[in-house]
Amino acid sequence: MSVETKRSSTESSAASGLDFEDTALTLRLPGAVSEPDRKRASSDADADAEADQSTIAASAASSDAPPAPKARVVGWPPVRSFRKNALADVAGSSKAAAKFVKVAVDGAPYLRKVDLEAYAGYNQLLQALQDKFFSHFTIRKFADDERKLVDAVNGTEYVPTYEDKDGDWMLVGDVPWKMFVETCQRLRLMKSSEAHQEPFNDAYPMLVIMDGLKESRKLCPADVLLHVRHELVQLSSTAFGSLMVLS
Amino acid sequence: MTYFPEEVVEHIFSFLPAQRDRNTVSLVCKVWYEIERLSRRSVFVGNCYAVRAERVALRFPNVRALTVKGKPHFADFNLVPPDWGGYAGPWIEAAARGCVGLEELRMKRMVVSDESLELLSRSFPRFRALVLISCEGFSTDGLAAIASHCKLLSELDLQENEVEDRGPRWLSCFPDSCTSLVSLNFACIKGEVNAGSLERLVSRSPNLRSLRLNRSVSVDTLAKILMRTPNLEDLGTGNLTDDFQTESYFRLTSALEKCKMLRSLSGFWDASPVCLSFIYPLCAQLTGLNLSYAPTLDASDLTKMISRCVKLQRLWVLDCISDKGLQVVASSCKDLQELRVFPSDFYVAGYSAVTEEGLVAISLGCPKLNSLLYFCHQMTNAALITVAKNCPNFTRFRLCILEPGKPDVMTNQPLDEGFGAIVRECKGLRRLSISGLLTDKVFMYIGKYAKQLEMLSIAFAGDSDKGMMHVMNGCKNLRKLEIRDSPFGDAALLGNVAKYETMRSLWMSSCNVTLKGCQVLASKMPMLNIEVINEWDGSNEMEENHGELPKVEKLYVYRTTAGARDDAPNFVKIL
Repeated sequence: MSVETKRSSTESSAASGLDFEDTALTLRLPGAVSEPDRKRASSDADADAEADQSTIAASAASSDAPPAPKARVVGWPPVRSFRKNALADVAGSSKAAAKFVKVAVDGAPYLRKVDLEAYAGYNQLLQALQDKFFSHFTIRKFADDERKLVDAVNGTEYVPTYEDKDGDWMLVGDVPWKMFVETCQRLRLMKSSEAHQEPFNDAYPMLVIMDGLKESRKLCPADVLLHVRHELVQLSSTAFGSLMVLS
Repeated sequence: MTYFPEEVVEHIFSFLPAQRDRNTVSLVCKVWYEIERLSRRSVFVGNCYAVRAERVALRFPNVRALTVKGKPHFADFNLVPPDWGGYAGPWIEAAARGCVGLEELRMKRMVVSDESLELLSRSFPRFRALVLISCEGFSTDGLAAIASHCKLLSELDLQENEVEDRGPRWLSCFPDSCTSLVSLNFACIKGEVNAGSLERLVSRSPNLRSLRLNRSVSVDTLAKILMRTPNLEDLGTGNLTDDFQTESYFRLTSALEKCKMLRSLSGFWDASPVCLSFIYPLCAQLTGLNLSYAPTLDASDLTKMISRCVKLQRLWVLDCISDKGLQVVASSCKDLQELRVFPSDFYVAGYSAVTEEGLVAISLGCPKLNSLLYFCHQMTNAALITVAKNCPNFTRFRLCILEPGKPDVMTNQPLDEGFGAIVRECKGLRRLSISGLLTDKVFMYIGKYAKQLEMLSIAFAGDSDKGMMHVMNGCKNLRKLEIRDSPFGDAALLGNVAKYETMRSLWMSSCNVTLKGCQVLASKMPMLNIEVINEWDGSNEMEENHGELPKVEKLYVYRTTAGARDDAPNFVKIL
């Protein structure tokens, strides 16, 4: 007895209503069903395919999709936390030393520490943050590769950021994983709303020194990063940040 | 029978070890009830909240072996909030007061404190065996108490517990007079242990049959230990990286050669593939192999090893083995009875190297297969139908397709027919977990054919209340039903309320059940505890919306003689 392995299913693709995605060139076996928005794992170890959670719930082709709200896939796949943690530990153990960094979450009363060496990539790190802080966080990945953690209870979005060796606060996910592990000093899960405001004006007065002249200005670091060429700027890590613009 | 002396009746009962039978005879008459309860040696409590600990201790004062299970199964997957309950304390305290002859205690998914372990170690002079599975709440200090005070300890088996590490002292607490160890499993202890203490402990344990070390134990120590345990049957390795001199590995090989009784291997952890070759000579005698915690081994490493394990009956492995690797397993391991393939990538829609092809290959090559846990990223009805025909002996069949609601990858149809074939062909099926795209039809099949089914796990499946009702009405032997993210509501919950009396428990999370439905159930069935679990306090919300009751997020229903429990946290409401 053998199973038919013929995979021609352009008919079934059309029947299911999947559209142009299916005709796009891919590295999959021909006819393998794809979901819209779904990205297959590529050779880049860090870019684990992670479909948008909402399309998973929605694309359960039945019209009566499970009632679960979009972002809720806690506890799936059903693997014991013990096993998940043990595998993460084992994967990371071949590296030389642990690298523990503090993790702050806006609104949480105390900080945690995570060992960056214990994770193989960004996805594992975010999963661990999810497990550590709130079981009802979930990871949502947006089309531009930006990763956010979402508190499914009240919809608050958290943007993972980190402080690097230069004292700058950077968005998690831009640089290759190994480079990130080397340069990351601490992590902060920043509320999305805050990340896009200009709240720092009052909270964080910044001293701007330009070309030897001292001048007090109020600037949001995000603005500075956008508008000032990086190699000219050093942000120090004191609570009241000061900005030095070197000529 | 009433004219027989008690001793004779008791002697007759001794031929009935099974709990079910003993429960039955105890119902015949008062005399039999008394004789039975005083001679009962082993008690199994499947749900620690189904009965009061004191009552068990009072009824069975001469119990020798007690097994208690706590949290519902879905707690393994973080679906039960911490502090929900499942405390071991009341059980150990009740036993300490009423059952001093206790020799064995087994606990699963319970919260055990160091104080409880201390009490345990001091209360039972004949205590021999402690088995803790998926428990939490204790540290190595608690283990130190057990080691120190349980003079007759023969079995200390810690499986996948969350243990707080307070240093290596605990292992050194076994007194020199302790020579009775038969089984020692500390694989889940994260910290180091003192190598010298371990070697000495093993040296004075001539009856040691099962030894599972943790990752901190070096190859050198392992080799020394194995020289002392020629009768070892089950070994969990320590560290097997190649940071060590090859000389250690030669010592290891010669030590392993002496272990003619070795049948089961586990551990490996971050073993480097080079080290595996030192284990090859053992492979031909192995019946059990657990490589599921060894992500550093790739498909070719795995197949090189497994192809030599011709007597293998139980295999746990990661999905990096791939379909090709499973084909090697199928052609090499003709006696295989249990297979578990775990995912190495834990993300929804993550990549997995095993598909339906690997499963079909296994079913073709291993007709004795009766227990399966299989994580994969795709499946087809055709494959499942083939598997069902090839392996009609399944008693446990758990299939997890990583992406929720994924259809047959070739036909885009639901997987109803595939699972239907499984329940139809496998007449002895006792446990089933289903996944993928599934409609009410699969439940119709389950209700119709799965007559021996005792435990069913459902996720992201079904269209309507009818689905759940098929199961509730059809599965005569159903004991545990756990459901998540499926469109079953009050009608299904209330469709067959008498059924809950015959079941241990029902779990429903992210379904369509409302508080009103739960209240109706509570009023109809007073012998049930209806636990409504909300992690966030929605009680204010509920008062405001009178017309539209919010859905119950998590529901846990179980039969009980104990009434509402008094240790429930404030986010659990018991109706």
